[in-house]
Amino acid sequence: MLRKEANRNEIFLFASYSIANSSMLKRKNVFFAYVVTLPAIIFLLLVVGYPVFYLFQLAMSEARVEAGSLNLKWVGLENFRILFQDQYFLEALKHTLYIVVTSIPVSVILALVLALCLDKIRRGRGIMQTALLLPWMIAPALGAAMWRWLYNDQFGLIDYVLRLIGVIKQPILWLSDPNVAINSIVICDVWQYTPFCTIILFAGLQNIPTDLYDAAGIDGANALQVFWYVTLRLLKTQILFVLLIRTVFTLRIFDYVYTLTRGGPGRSTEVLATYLYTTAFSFAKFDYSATIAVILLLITSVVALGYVMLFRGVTEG
Amino acid sequence: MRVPSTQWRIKAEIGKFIIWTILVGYTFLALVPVLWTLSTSFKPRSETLEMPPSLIPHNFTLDNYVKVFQKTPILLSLRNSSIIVAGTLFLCLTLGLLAAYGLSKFFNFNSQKFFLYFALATRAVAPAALVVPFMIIGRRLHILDTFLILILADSYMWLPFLIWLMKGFIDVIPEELVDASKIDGCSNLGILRRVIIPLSIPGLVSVAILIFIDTWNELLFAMALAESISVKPITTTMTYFYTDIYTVYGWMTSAGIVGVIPAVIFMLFFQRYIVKGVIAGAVKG
Amino acid sequence: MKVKPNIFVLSVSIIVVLTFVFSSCAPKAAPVATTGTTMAEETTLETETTLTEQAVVLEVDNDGTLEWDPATVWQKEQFEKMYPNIKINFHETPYKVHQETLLRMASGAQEPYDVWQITDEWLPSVMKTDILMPIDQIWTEDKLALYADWEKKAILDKDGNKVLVPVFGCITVFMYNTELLQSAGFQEPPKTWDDIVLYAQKLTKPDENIWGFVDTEESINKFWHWLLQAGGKPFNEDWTAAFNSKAGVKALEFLVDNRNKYKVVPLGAVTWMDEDQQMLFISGKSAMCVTWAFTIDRAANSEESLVKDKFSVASFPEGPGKTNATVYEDNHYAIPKTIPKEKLDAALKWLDYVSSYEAQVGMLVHEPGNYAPVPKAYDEPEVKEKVPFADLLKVNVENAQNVVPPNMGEVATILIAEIQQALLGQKTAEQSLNDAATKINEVVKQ
Repeated sequence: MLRKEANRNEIFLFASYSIANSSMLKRKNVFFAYVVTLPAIIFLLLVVGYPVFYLFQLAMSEARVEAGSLNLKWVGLENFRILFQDQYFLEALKHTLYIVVTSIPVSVILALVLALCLDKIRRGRGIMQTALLLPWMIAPALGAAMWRWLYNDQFGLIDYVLRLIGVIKQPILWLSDPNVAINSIVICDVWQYTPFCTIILFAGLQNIPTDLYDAAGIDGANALQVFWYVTLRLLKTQILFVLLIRTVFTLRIFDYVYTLTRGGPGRSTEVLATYLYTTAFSFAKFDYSATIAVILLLITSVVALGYVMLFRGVTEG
Repeated sequence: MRVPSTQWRIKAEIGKFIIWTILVGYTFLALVPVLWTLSTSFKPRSETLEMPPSLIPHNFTLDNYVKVFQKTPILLSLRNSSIIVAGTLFLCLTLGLLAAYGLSKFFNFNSQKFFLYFALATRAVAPAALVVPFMIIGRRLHILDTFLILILADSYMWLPFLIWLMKGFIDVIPEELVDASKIDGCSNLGILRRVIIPLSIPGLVSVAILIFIDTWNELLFAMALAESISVKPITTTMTYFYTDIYTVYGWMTSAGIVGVIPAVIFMLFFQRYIVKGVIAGAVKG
Repeated sequence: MKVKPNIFVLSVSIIVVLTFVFSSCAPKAAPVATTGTTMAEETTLETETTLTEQAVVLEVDNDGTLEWDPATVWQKEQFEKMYPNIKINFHETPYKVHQETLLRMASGAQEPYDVWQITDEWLPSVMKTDILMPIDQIWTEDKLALYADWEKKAILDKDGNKVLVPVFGCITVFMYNTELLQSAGFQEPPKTWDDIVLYAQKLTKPDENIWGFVDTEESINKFWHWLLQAGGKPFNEDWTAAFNSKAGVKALEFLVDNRNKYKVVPLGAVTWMDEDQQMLFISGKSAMCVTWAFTIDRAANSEESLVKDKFSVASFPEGPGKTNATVYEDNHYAIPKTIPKEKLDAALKWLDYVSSYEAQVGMLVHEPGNYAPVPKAYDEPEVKEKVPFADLLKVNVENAQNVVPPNMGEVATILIAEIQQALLGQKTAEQSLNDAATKINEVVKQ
């Protein structure tokens, strides 16, 4: 056994000796490294490559549906020019950003608090974990339908209870008041995705070795210092990860907006994804819809890039 | 620590109280929609629109569940969903774990960055934009309306994040452990099997739960790519009664509850694998 | 806690095995049987089936689940009895993704069905793609005479070919809760718009969640109803906006005042869907409303209804226009040009059958929530027996209009947003209609 392994190692060393100067690899097992990493990358490339290319093509064409096929005529950046002058697009952009900027800090901080609490309890943790995760386990389409019913000002549970306990006299128009509607959607988004963040942060907390806490304790640190220097430091990857995923998902929020308000009273809750959808399937303008999709793609990429750069800064520090 | 023990104990008790209040309080509020769904599914249809709305049904009934089982192929779709999720988990975990291992232990930081950027970029595309291309590809390869295309579609969504997340978990594994097993004569695959996997179980399990739930609830591709009832996953059945002109809330909620139960079971079973001290134990022992 | 890697490997392998076993026995798309012998080169209708024909399976689109379409199921049974060689396979396309599906089929992204079901809402975008096949040969003089005048126009495409066949329709009716009205002292339903306001003010009790008059504008057809009743008209001949006329302003102001001045409408109804309006009515909390006629069936028969024998239907209270005009939202079958040659004959037969008098009467009888654009059908004794308020419906059907502007999706989105702003008090009725008209005039030119 050892003889075989030694042989194999020799071959690897030999093969990689010529590339030993490569700064790419930490270890000199070139073959293994690539074999192991590439399948995933290739899979992603194959799956996403063609559609993205097609999307860009569509965004820069004028599309006409003719009897069973889609005819494209190249128009360059014309669609984008129209898009940036489109008042509805700019409003949709504004609403999307509002939801992102409101929903994400709230849910991440909430998730952090919950994860820390979960970490501290011993008994009942299993039940608590499952109960906390339940909102996320409900499919968004279904969750949206239930929330719409709950938010209804006449036969919804929320307004009924609030009026019952005397907090409000008139029902709050969760979905009909232009000022409130978008916040109702933020609430739904927080509700649905906080559990997801909680579980990732919680798993991250599990990864922190207990001896670190003991060591900090011996050094005389109090709870707050422990939290700041030990816990938060080691959770930075997970926190950034959670922020990234949430942003990417929330930028393309669709289910809740479409089901709850369809773009809202007087279009006050229209977001990019719903605008994209109605342009494609209600107005039958596939080219314009692709343009919006490309913009959404670019925004998401830029944001993701920003996060990854932050990530680099963090881990190198 | 030179604190009188009683003071410390009181502080601990207060701390515990606060923690439990936060947890239970938030959970209760967050569960209101879920409880409402549950309650509606057990109410007879004539009670659905009763005002004032009540959380506890006046006449508890299982009629809605019976109707759902009669009118929809719900058991079949449960089986379908299980297959799709199992396939997705397998594909994702395999490709993802290998890639994460490779990136974490074999590549320098710069190249890690490069691969990660790329992986994340693929995720920047909205799934909605990919529905039509998937349909076209599916038709060309004749795999439309099969499990395979659904597995592929669901896998693509989670793979980049999985790689990133797993890489984070593997990064924490100390180099000494890896070197120690190398000295013992382990091959790279052996390291993977003996050292990496056991130590990243909490990470693996959490990611598996994430993928499970997200794939289980996946509706967009399910509706577009699956036609026959022997392939349609549970999400389409759950929304069977919701996508009509008007909604029979009793049936819709029952179908929804039946669809959620497997996810809950999965969660209950696997969440005990997310425990602290796995690494600590390995380092010490 | 140590987890043995072996268990992990074992479970993974089991999953792998299961996956492959089940994937390999997953069915591909069902193979379609074709007629081998008869090739209908011309598109004339064959009235006899030849015994040498093999079975044709017709893939027919159905909106929503068949649960709610007993008439369609009945029609299929009758049809298959008439033509034993043709089998109909329904595809239950969920309503919420139906337009998507149609457009994807029209652009070649999805395998098209043989017969499509298109509701007015989606009709303009599908018509734009030029994918519907002319079927003039089905529309004989006799058949054409059966249908209401507006239906004769509704089935035409822009070149004047007949491309559609009606499946069923939605018409509006005025419904009221007899119990609520009587307990407030009203023996008769209201006769004019002023009456509506009078009654509603007396009937509204916000603390008990009871509202006098509830209207929702999810579909612009509702607004067209009020516009027509006020004596206005939606569009000019060239589809430019005509709804911002005095009549239009009167109609919108009626709705706005009901909400903001007289407060007989729940404030949240601005973003309610039609479904919510119906739910309020059948829960007994809404005294009067103008809604789609299938609410009659829902109120009378569905298990959720709390007003089973406590409601009635009346003719529309007269508006300023003093007319009975209303809207009708249609639902049609059509054949795409991409249909395989061997199926064309079967598809034509299906369409021919569905538009026949017997099938339309049968539809009314078996699914009382649906309405047919065939005025004569409402006189049939069976219909009078099974369909509640058949006389009233006949009047409505005769006086209805079908309003389908080009680029309807955009038109609807713009107009509804403006109406909502008027209802919320952000703009005056006149202002919002004028704004809508300007934007819409640009859109219909495209």
